[in-house]
Amino acid sequence: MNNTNPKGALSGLRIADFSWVGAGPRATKDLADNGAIVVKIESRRRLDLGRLSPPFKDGKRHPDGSAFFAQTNTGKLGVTINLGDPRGVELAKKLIVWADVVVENFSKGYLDRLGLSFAVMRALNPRVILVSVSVAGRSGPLSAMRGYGNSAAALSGQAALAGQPHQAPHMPPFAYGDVVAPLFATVAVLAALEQRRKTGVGQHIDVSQVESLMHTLAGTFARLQAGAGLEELRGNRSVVASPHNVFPCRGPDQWCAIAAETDAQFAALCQAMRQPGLAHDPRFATLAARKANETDLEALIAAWTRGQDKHLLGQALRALGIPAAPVQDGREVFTDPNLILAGHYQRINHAVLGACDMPAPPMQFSRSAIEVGPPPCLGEHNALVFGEWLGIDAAELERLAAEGVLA
Amino acid sequence: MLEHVRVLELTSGLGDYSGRILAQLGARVTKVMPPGADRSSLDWLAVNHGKQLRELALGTPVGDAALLEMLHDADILLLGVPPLPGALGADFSARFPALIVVELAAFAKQSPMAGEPVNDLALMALSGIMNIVGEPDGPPLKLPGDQAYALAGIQGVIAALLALNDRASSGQGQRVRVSAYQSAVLAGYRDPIVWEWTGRLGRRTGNRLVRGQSGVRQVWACKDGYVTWSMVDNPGLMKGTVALMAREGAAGVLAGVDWEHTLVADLPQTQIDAWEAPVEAFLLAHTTTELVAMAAEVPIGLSVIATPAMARVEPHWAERGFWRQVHDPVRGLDLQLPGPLFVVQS
Repeated sequence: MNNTNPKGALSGLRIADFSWVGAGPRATKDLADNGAIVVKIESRRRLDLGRLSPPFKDGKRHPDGSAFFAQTNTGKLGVTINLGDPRGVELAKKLIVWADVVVENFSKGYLDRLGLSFAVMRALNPRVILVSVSVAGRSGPLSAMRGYGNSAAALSGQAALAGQPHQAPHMPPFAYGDVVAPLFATVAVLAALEQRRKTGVGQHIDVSQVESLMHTLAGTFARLQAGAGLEELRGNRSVVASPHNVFPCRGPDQWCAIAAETDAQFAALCQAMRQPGLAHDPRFATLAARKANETDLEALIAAWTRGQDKHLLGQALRALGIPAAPVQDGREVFTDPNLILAGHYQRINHAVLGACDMPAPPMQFSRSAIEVGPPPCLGEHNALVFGEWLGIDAAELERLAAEGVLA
Repeated sequence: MLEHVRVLELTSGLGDYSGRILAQLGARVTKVMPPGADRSSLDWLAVNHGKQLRELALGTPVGDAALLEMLHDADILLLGVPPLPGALGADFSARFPALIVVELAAFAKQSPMAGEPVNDLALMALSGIMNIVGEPDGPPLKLPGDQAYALAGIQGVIAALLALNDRASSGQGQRVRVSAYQSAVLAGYRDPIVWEWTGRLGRRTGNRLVRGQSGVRQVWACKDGYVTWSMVDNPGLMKGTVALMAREGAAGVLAGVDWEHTLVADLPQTQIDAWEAPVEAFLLAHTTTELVAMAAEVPIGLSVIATPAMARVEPHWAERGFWRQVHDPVRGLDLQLPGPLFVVQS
């Protein structure tokens, strides 16, 4: 792509980011990578849990040394405010006046108790857009619920659908709700900006992790209402393709995903297996037949894949037009040329982490720039933001710091 | 929100969800399809309702002329791969300088695998996510639904709206390519950096949420179903849990834990296992209804694990207006499908 315009698509946009951990910060990371000025508001009194999350530089816990925090907060500026002090709340109000967009994921009612309800924000700044991210949303009977990504997986039906058929619900070792909801929050910010250009006023948008997850399961909800059973929609198999699973390959815990979405792809797979007759075998000749005999079919394919290199197998099958790919681990993803050549990882220089690679948004513009900058150290930009931008003089800032307002 | 935005969609599969989201946001989305294209599947309906449909034989003079006519009025063109045939495949930038072209593809142009056949399963396999989903002694598992396509679909909307924001000041459109593979890789946010910083490889841990060296359990059986609860670094929720257990004399070793000065992420697995044992017994002794009632009284971070059918009848989502009735003409069914992406609070 030819980036003739060095500016990000959101150049000049101002964001006051009160969010923490994952569900809000991932959204504001994307906005920062696209040129927005994001001021992350934190407190030393209660650190963003991301700052406490491994991996750490040299394995030593340090609030500015978490790579997990870094990749979730690239390109942001960092300030510290003690919102438990009324003078801290006044500082927050100044940032709300400064901002185009405010993002938060506090417990329900927390901002209201501080005197920072959306009504107050709007009185201070009629153009401000507030985006709230929570598990169940800010309205409705479950809105007071406190929880994490696991609650979102549970309430959305995702956990019950995950896992193998006829086994207990499954939750993978990462919070997928903390991934999907921030994407919806980013959409919310951008759609509200587009609307503000027409109306001149902001609005309060309420993003629920559960609703975001359910949105990505629309096809599954449709199938279940049309008569499909829950168990047939679990695991790796598909109701519209067979085979559709992972198959063992050479080496411990090595697998290759293989799918035949058409009879032609299945015939090509049979050719690759040097068993072309299988394509005409009444047990496997049609999708319905393959679904009825799927366990037998998978055993035949597994007997063929076992002992083969997963990368070469995937490559050979794709060359025949068959969707196939190795199951990659963290090392293979980090070193994948498909990602490196695409600029998926961008180099940052950070005071504590040093020079390291951070993931960029998954897109390339012909004009707009994407720039992944270092994450902020705790309170790194207090002087810049409070002093230079908000006009608080140095003596006052020193006093506020000494009295714990900037903690 | 986007009632003034016109979208033309030339996608099939990957990218359909982008148009669905834009339509839900109010944009006028027209999906161009080959004459007679199959639209009978439920998956198709789930990501294409709310769009206007237009059948055009692209590659014929009549079809191409009709598409060009429609492009004059479009703000955003959603483009799948392979690219458009013939003259329509040429660069749009000179002809339609204000048009935003969002190209949805499995891989970036520079990727060696660009253009190779992959589907959602293959993308999830490549992403690193399947490697950590499933039981330790079982095969890698995908997530429910078509999540690589869903993630790419949302990123396609983000790309379109970013370009729309840029156009508002520059007056110029642009072309943006979204990679479904990269979209899926971003969802697996821990394993690549753990490798980068520690040289450790992630693995399947069953139902344990891994932070650092150890993992905490997320799925628990109770008397009549399953709930989720985890030992997390939130002293309020942990103290609430122990207080509820203590009421029944079930707190055991947890009674003496100083949650304010404990970082669960730093605990060894044996310690976590020992602390989880009384929780397991406590949860097994209660029904989901009892536990949800307790969690409503004292915040403990517990939720019932709902089946999709339970989620669909949960009054909370109906009250928030989440579901939309969508008619399935093929099967003659009225389906309740996800509607609004979020709630605008007045």
